[in-house]
Formats: sequence, C-alpha cells, structure tokens
Amino acid sequence: MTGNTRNDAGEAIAEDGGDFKPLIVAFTCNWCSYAGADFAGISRMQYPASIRVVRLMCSGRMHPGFILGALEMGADGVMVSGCHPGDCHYTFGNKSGQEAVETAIEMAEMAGLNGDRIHLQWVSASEGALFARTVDEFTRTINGLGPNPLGREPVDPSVVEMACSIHEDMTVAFEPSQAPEATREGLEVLREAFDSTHAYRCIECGKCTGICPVNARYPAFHPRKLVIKGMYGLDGELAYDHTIWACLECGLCREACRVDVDLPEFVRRLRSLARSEGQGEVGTHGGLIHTFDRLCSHSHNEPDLTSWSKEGRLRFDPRSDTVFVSGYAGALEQIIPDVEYDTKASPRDAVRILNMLGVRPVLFETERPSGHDLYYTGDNNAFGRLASMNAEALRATGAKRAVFVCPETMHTYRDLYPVVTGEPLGLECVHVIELVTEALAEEKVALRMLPNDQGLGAITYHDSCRMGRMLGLYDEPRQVIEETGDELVEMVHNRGYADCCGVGAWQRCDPASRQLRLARLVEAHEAGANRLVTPCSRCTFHFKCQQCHDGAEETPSTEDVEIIDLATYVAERLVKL
Amino acid sequence: MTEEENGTSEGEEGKAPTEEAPRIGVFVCDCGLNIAGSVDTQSVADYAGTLPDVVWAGRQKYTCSDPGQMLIEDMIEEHDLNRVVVASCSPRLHEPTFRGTVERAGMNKYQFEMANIREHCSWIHLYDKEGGTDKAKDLVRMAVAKVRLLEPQEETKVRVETTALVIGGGVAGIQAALDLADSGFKVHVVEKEPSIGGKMAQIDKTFPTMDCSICILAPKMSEAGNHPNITLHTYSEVQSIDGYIGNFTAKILHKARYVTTDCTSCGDCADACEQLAPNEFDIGLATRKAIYIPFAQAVPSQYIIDMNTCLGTEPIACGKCKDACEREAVDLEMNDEVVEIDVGTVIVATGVDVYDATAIPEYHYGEYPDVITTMEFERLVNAGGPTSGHLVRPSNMKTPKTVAFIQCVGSRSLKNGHPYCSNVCCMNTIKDSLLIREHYGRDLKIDVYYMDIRAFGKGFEDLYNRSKAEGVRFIRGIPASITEVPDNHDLRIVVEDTSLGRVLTRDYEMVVLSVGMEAAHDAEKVQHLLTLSRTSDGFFLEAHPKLKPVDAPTQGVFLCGCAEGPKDIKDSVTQASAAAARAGILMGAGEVTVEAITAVVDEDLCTSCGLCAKVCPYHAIEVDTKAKTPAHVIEAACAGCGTCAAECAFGAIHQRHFTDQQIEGQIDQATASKAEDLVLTFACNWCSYAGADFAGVSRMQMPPAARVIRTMCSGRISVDFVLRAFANGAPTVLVSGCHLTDCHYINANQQTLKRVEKLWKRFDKWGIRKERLALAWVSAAEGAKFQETITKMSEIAKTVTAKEIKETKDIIARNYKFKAEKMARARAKKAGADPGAANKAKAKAKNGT
Repeated sequence: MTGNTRNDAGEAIAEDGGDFKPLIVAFTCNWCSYAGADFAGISRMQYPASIRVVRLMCSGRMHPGFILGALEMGADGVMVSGCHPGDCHYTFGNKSGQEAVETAIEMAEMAGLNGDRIHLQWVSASEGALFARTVDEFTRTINGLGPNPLGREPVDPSVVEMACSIHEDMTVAFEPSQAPEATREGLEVLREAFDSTHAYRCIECGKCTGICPVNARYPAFHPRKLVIKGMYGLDGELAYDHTIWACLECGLCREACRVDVDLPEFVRRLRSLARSEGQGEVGTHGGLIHTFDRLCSHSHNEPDLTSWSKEGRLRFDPRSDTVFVSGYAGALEQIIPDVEYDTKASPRDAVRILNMLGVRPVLFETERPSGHDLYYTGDNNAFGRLASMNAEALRATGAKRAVFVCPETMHTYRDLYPVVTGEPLGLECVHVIELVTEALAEEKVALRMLPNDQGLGAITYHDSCRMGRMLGLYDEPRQVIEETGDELVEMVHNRGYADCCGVGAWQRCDPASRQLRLARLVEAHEAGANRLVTPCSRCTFHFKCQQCHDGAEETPSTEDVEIIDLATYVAERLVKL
Repeated sequence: MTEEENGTSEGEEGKAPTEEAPRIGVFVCDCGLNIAGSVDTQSVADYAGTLPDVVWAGRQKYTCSDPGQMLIEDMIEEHDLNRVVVASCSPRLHEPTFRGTVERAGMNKYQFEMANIREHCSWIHLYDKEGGTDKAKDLVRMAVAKVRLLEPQEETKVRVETTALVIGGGVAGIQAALDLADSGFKVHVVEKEPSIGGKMAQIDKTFPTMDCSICILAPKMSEAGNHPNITLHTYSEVQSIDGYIGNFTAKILHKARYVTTDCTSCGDCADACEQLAPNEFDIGLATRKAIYIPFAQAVPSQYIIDMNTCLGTEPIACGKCKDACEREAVDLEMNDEVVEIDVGTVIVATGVDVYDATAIPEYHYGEYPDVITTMEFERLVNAGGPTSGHLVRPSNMKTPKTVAFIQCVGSRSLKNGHPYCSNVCCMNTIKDSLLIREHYGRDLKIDVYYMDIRAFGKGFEDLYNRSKAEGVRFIRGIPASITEVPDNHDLRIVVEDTSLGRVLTRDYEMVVLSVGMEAAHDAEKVQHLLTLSRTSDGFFLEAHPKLKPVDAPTQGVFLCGCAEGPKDIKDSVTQASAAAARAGILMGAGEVTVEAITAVVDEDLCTSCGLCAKVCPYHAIEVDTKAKTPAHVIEAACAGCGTCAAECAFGAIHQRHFTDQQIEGQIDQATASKAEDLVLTFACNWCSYAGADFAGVSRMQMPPAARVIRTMCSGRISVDFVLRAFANGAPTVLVSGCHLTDCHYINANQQTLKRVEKLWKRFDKWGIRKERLALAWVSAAEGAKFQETITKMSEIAKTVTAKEIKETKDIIARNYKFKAEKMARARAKKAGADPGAANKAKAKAKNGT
C-alpha cells in the first residue's frame, strides 16, 4: 500500500483528508480474515473506525457486482480479504475471490473511478496486526482520494435491494392476496403506462400471450393478465409481481397485437413502478452490467470505453462528418471469461468496414454506455442521465451522421434519446450494414467467399429483436450474406416473428431463457444451417455461452452451429472494386 | 340597402322590391320557467319594443302552444306585421312550427326569424339572471336586425326524370332495381362483372335459416334479367355522372364481351377452347376456359371471352370458339362502347370486397395450402363448386378430420386490418360449422377460435346454441401463429385460451380464416363520380345516421347494401327496399322543391373568375372563364351552404336568406353588446349550432359571453365577417363548424379552415393577437367542447384592453378593404359617369344597415 496523492480526477490531494470520514466496506472470509480481525480486537489493536465488515464463508463468494455495487451506493472504498493463497479453507476458492477483485478494479477504472478504492489483502487468523495495519493504511489511501464522487448523488432505492437478493428461483415471490397497495406515485406511474401504451385498448384476444416465448416456457409470466390486472385496478399486485422481470422486452407481443398496445413498454413501466415500490430485482451476473452502466451515468466520472479502437490499425479522422458509436460495453469479457468471444471485435470490424468504404469516422471518445439495459429494466433516473450526456457529447463531435454497429445502441440513440431528452438527436443514424448495401448497389465493393468457406454449408440469419422489430433492418443483412454466394436458409421463425436469443437487457438468465436460446439453436440446425450470423453481440455472446454450458451432452447438434458476428462476417469478406 | 340588395338579385323573377316599411312583431316566450326562470322576459319584451321598426312586442307563457300561435296570427292581422321574431328556443326545434304560423296569417315564411334565448341563454346561465337577461336582449336585437332585411322567398321546383340508375348488381342492387321496376319506373343496373349476383351468388348457404343461397337468389336474378322495366349493363362501368337531383346524365362503358346476345350458352365454344385460367367465381380453386360463363345461373346467360387468356382477336391465331359456335355469336371484332342515359335518381349498391388475409404473415395464408378463407370454404362445400360440394384439403384432396375456424381475421384490428366489426363473420362461421356437421357428422372435429361471438339478430342465438349442441367447440382466444408440420401439411396453432388463461398448442388438418369485409376497392372512384363522402372505414357516409340512413349527402343519391357498411343479406335487402322507396318518392312526385336558401349571381358584378365554381362542393355553379360569361347557379344542385358567397371577392354571388347584409346586421348588433368578455360566435347549423343546443339541453353552465350567429355551413363565413366583427370592436371571434370529415356539405369546411389560417397569418403580419380568433370543430354531440371553448375564449376576451381594440380597428382600417366598398366601386363604374350615385352607394355600404 503506497500513499496516494491523486484523486479520481487525477488531482493532487492531502493524505489526512481533513474533515472527511471515509466509509469502507470490508468483505472477509470466515476462517482466516474474520478471525484475523477478531484477533486484532482481542489484542486491543487500534485502527480507524472506518470499516464495516461483511462476513463471507470464503472470499470465493465475492462477486465484482458486490464491489461495484458498494461503490455505487457511496462506499468510499472496498476492502476484500481472505486466506493466503494455498491456505484456502475451500481448496482454491480465494483464487476466484482474487479474480473478482481484479475484474472489479478493471471495470471501476473503465467507468472512471480510481482503482485504488478497491483493495485486496490476504490476512490469516493469526495476523491481527496485519489486519489493523491494512485498515489503517487503506483508510489513509482513501483519505488521500477523498470522498467517493458518486456519494453526492441520490441512489436508486432498488440498488439497495440488489445488494441483498440475487434472483434464482422461478416462483412468484408473494401471494397475490398479501400484496400491499401501491403508493400514490405508483398509481400515477400505472395510469401513465396505460395512457401512453394504449393498454386500455386491449380486446383480450390473447395473441400476445400465445406468441410470447417466455410464457411458453414459464407460464407464470402472462402478458395479457398484466394488462387485465391494470384494467381492474389491481395496482398493488402489479407492483409486487416479480414475473415482470422475466420479460425479455423482445417485442414479439407488440408485433402480434392487433390493437397496437405497446406491451413491452407497459412491462417496462411496470418495472419502474416496481422499483419505485422498492421491488426491483437484480440482473444477471450479480447485476454487474447494470451497476457498471450506473457507475458510468454519473457526471463526476469520465469513463473510457475506447480500448477496442487501439488495435487493428483503424483509421479515424476527428474532422469527419461521420461519427462511429461503438456501443462497446467493455464489461462482457470480464464477466464470463470462459466464453470464447472477443467483444472488441464487433466495433473494430465495423470501423474496418467503414475504412474500406472510404469513411474515416470520428472516434467517439466521450462515449458512455447507451443505457439500453437500464431503460428496459425500468431505471429511468440513470438512463436519463446517460441519454442527455451521450446525446450532448455526440452533438459536440460536430458530425452530421452517426454510424452504429450495435443494434441496441442504435435503437437507444435513434428512438429513445429524443423521447427521453425531449429534443431531437440532431444526427442522422445509420447502421453500418446499410452503408455496405449502398456501396454494393453502387458497385464500389463486393463480397467474396473466403477460401475456407467452401464446404462450410448453409448460413442462417438470426434477426435480433432490436435489428429487426425495432430498426426494421431485415433485408440488408440477408442481401449482404447472399452477395458472398453463401447459401442462406431461413429458420421457421424469421424476420418480424423471429424468436429472441433469450437475453432481455441482462435481467434474467433462468431455465426459460436458456430453453429459448437452445430452441433457437435447434431451429437453426433444423433449417440445415452450419453457421448462424447475428448482428447483435449480446446474441452472439449468449449463443456461445449456451453452447459451452448446456449444448454438449443434451443436444450435440446445436454445437455444430458456428455463431458469427455480422460485422466480422462482412469485414472478412469485403473487397474493394 | 334593402332596395339595392333586392333589386339586383330578384330582378329576373320580376318581384317588386319591398317598398313597404318593415313592421316587426317580437314575441318573447317564458317557456314556463325554462326561460323566465333565469331571464327577465318582461324586460326583454319591453326592450324589444324600443327597437326600430318594432311595432308590437310582448311576452307569453308558451308561444308554441295553440293560444301562443293564435296570438301571433292575431297580432299580424291587427298590427299589419310583415316581419316576426320569436324569442324562445332553438330554430332547429320550432322554426318549422312558427313558419307555418306566419304563413297561415298570410306572411311569407322567409320573413320570420328566431332568437334562441333558451338553449343558448337561459339554460346555460341558470345562476346569472342579469347577465342572461342582457344577453337575451342582445340576441333579440340581432334577430330584429336580421328580420328587418329578410326578403320574401319563393321555393322553386325542378322536374325529376322517372328513370333510376342502380350501380352494382349484387343482391342489394337487384332488390332495389326490382322494387323500382315493379313501381313502374325504368331502371338501369350497371354491374362490372359479366353476371349480376354479386357475393351472394358465391355463398353456399345463408344464416340463420340455412337456405341455399343461389336457390333463393337465382329467381331474383332472372326476374331482373327479364323485367321489361330493367336494362342490365353487365361487364360495364359507370364512367361519369353529371347533373343534379332529378336530372343526372350517366356515361356507361360497355366492355367488349366478344360474344353477342345470340349466345344460347350451349357451351360448344368452351369445349373447343384450349386456354385455361383460374376461375374467379371459385376464387381460383378451379379453372375455366378463355371463353366461359361465370357460373351456371349467370344472368345474362351469355358467354364472354377473357382477352388476357385468349390467344388473340386475330382469327388466324386460334379462332376455335368462332368455328364451334353454330349461332355465330362469337364476334372477335367487338369493341368497347359508351352509352349515355338520363336518370333522375341514383342508387349506390357497389358492395364490398373480402379482406385479403395475406396481410397477416403469422397465418401464412397463400403459403400453406390448407389455410383457406371463408369464401374459399363456401365454394368447397357448394355442390356447384370445384369439388362438387366435398370439403377437401387442397394439399391432398382428402376430407380433413379436424377443422379450426379463426374469427375476426382483418376485423377489429388496428394493425393489418380494419378497426370495425364485419358484422356477419360470427354467424357465417356458426352456419359453416353446422354445414360440416350436416355433411360429415361428429367425426369431424370443429374448433372455433373467437374473441366475442356476436349473435345479435333474429334467430341468431338459436343457431349458435344449435352449433354448440352439435359439439362444435368455441374457444375464446385468437391464435398467435400457425405453423405447418413439415411432413403432412398439418397446421399447428398456438393460442391462449383466454378463459382459462392457458396457452394451447393444437394441430388441425384445415384452418379456415373467417375474413372480414372491407370497402370495395373502387369505392373511391364511385365517391368521386357522385361527390359522396366516406367514413374513415371507407364505407359511404349517409346523410344522417339515424333519420336519413339510406340518403347520401348528395341529393337524389341513395345508398344500400354493404357499400354503406358491412351487413348481412337480410339487412342489405331491407336497405335496398328502403333506398328504392326513397328514390321512388322523388320520382313519383315527378318534381322536387328546393329550399330558398340557394345562391344567386349578380351578373353585373361577376367577373367570371370561376372561384365560386371551384369551391362549390356540388359542382352547382357553371362558369366559362374563357368566354367571360357570368357564373350561373344550377338551383336544383345547389345545397345552400353559401361557400361561394363567402369566397367571391366582388360580392357578385350571394346566398338567399343568408345575405352578407343580413349577417352583417347581426354582427353589428352583436358587437354593440355591453358584454366585456364578448365571444362573437359563428356556428354552422348542423354541427356546431346543434352542439351549442346540446350544451343548453344538458344545462352546461358557461359565462354569458357568446353571441351566436347561425349559418348553414361554416363555409359561409367570409373573411369580411370576421374582420368586420374585429373592426366593430369585438374582443374575440370564434368560428365553429363540423369536424373536417363530417361536413354536411361534403367538404365546404375545408374552405373555412383555409380562410381562418389565412387570417391568422395576416394577424401575425399585422400584429393582432392570434388567439383572439379561434377555430373550433364542434360536433352536434360535443356540448362539453362548446362549453369549454366559450369559457376559454371568454377568459381571453377579458384580457383584451380598450387600447388593443382601438389599435385593431386602426390596423384593419389601414390594411383591409371590405367587399361592400369594392362592390360600391364596381357599381359606380358600371353606372358610368354618375359620381353622385357611386358616392351614395359607397356611403350606404359603409353604414351597413
């Protein structure tokens, strides 16, 4: 531990901290570190009253979400301690504890926080002195860093909920009759939801529920009943109904609805309602993705999400009239290291394509996460902050046109920002694939099969929910794939009626969504495809995850389907004419 | 002013200008306590007595009662009254009553006027007796100002041609034609298909009696074909219709059939023909030859050649049919021809089209062979159909073991369909389910997927219960998707049973989509032919939904059958008879009276610019802009909206009974009101005035700010009127009319919109506050909207200061020339070098009344 002389913004700062009383959350394992702290106590070893200890059985229980969550809630520092390597009570649990801390540090720095606010120290049961000294030194470090810059902003109450519950089971968490009534504010949210989504039009035909891929696998989630409950004024039941978190926001029900009810938006607003009633639910991967987005949503932080642009000799031009919005979330690789997928590839290949088309875009250096996942999980506050900061920063680049590769990001910028910020984005939004089809039409470029593509078999195209139903880009990707001469086959559910990959804004990864993912892969296989191309990196990531976790024994067939990112597919096969 | 007005407009009829001085009687009604409860009627009557030319004024308890009417008659005689004002209720209620009263006493009924002090005053200011009484006095003063200028009018009559044109030869058209023909009128029926019969000819059975459709239709078809008073024009289209009520001229295109009437429909030609095409009558489920007869019972029973399929008119190309025909009825040189007919009335029976289910991608109609529509089903179970009445799966020609019906396909849907209920599909499916039971018994399983079963007609519920008793399962829920099981063409339905809240997956061998009706695809063409209106659903709009259900807004035109809205055969026939009766009334009388509110041209002032003809929704004005002859009004075609009078920049055309001078008289008296929050309100007779009445009847309270001037249509409200009101010092002006699609005069209110928008632009330029002039579309049902608008405008009026009013007056004086001044100048010019006369006319125009 070295004395630190700079704060998060890199400014020099005094070590004594003045009036500042730091608050540190310390996670300790039961066997070594907690005992070490006990030992320090018995021995009357003095150290600052800055720490609050959370006892775990093993430091292997640590999750980066706990650390980032603590920081988001206003902790000035997080300390993790466990048994020394080799001494772990659970053989090597502390190894994953160490990985969690490393991931948390990396993500915190990406989000613009000083990584020194997170500290790992192995402490054995006999090392009371070490424990005391560590607290002392870490407190001084935090003094040097000053208060957590996020502490000043109000914290979304559902975040508190998040720290103590991780949703695993599939049951409804309450008895309907026991549901309390919603608050006055909650009722207001519900009324607005009804008006703005036209839910009052429902004629109870049941098509939404019939087509819902979640209901087919998890019948407790019942879109039509949610609307009916709203109609009957059962607002309390709605606010406390945890099935709403199973919705994937995939938009199939909206596609099927004959009276144009915006059901996904209705469910989204129910989630806001649930949050306002303190009934939020933590997302997948310990809510890490949402926490990361929220960390980035604070104006005090200056996240840096441009690491993808450093490799591959990409060419940018700050004076260009085109800006590239990467939608790079940064956090994916950190979360599931065992899935073999380079999430940097998608933005990188998109810029490669742009360069090949003769476009050198502006690198959007001040880009923050789009907030797509926060929006669809009902966190209006953090999303609003991201929307206005991103929209403003995008305009500040001076470009006239924004090019996207991530469909979620494009949907968020193009369709959601203007509504939430109340002003037009001011830039034309295009997807990189649209530029490719334009260039093909002008015969500036062509797509050629790679030498090893021969004999790889047919390709199927998976319409991601955002690319298809929300951006309406159905033909362009297909046109590009067929241009190479590859055989394109269609799955049973395609275009507007394509099923979802099972990831809805990283809210749940449960048996239903996993079955859905598997079903989609089976569909691809049955269509006779050996390769599946998808425009969305979330889809790619989760299909790959499905293959490496479930696929092997249960359905050997799905393993054969190679998952390919659309941008990568195109970049590798594009040639200039 | 009166003299001048009269002399120029009525000159041709040689009516003497009313030299006699106006002698006005004012009758103020208590209406029990309805008016007297919140208006001091005695003081209103006393005030009326002080107004110029009023020779008698008094109050009564009930003016509309017999003693009340007797008093009016007595006073007319006693005081030699030549003008009468009754201040009581809405003219929409009792104007006909009092017009009759004054007529009985020997007065001209057009010299009568009402002041509406009940619906527009006492009922909406229940708690403000002082304000209400002041307002009532204003309203009486306005009515007196108008009545003083009212001219006696004579209603004209026009001849009605006793021949009718029926467009469309479906069951509705056939019924209307037969009814008229049996009444002794000549009827022309125009049908675009080669045979009459329409959709009913394609249906197998009818509900709820299960009658064979063609068996009950065919006799009617042949009766129509043989009736001495009926001329059929099949395979024909109406190209144009000109004229007006009683006197229409229609051009009808006879498309070449290439087979003459010598055809005996023996079929030798078709046997010889080798060219095949899908059979339209069987919806493509079977084929026909290039020379064909649409179906066995076709009327006329005459073959036709489809030139798109035929090898060509050149006999060398093929000519087999020509060779086969012993009667030499095949004429490959036949040409299209156009015939012209004169008719007095037109009946529109153009029917509907069937919803195209390919628009719903999740049902894969047109892609999966065993997903069919109800019309295809009708042909499949029909003995005369392609399978001789055997219900088979198109994929394998075997009878299905399980059939699902999906209801509301294309109906009750805002997306991929129509928002309305198609009215017949529920019963049609119930009937179809029983047909299957009849043919195949209980072994064939039938499930019906529905949202609501609408079995509302006579005998309908019985049929529904019979179907349920026969084991047909009705499952509440509309399938989300249909997917084909790859190997055997079975159809997998995923549906939420919304009664149980459970999602079901079921396989069927056949799925029947119960498709709805949609407005005929050529309805727009018919609309323009006859200047009709259509609702947002695409069906033709009737003149009044309750009281004139088969009259079109265009006089002399009537509607029946599905062209007016989706309905079953019984309702179509009922409506057809009603339309025939309505047309028969006109033709039986042989002439028609036109209300004396039509437009009249002052030929001296007309510059033949053609603007009046351009804005006339009825094409009732003829003007030759090249020859520079003055405009001419076809009185019988004029509906009396007054849009032309408002549009003419030279005052050369005016509307009888609603002249500029009469309305300006009302404006001047309204703006002389003492009310500080005055909202000078123009309201059209049909919607907004009725809306204001509705507010009154509903006792919706509002400040006594409005002074309503009634015109027949908001299209009558000219820029002059609005600016005159402001120049007189009105703080605010409200223009109100029917909603844009609901105009009683087709689309005259579009002109209102244009004028008000133009005024707003001028106000911007001139620096007059735009919100002082409001435009509100208020329907007859929107009393609350009227209340809201007046309340809001009254608030705005209060913010207008005396200084602002003075500035407005100056701005208008500086920037705008009123029509009256232009007219005076034009007259002076015509009068030649008599500057004295011109000056006199100008002075008169400025002084108004």
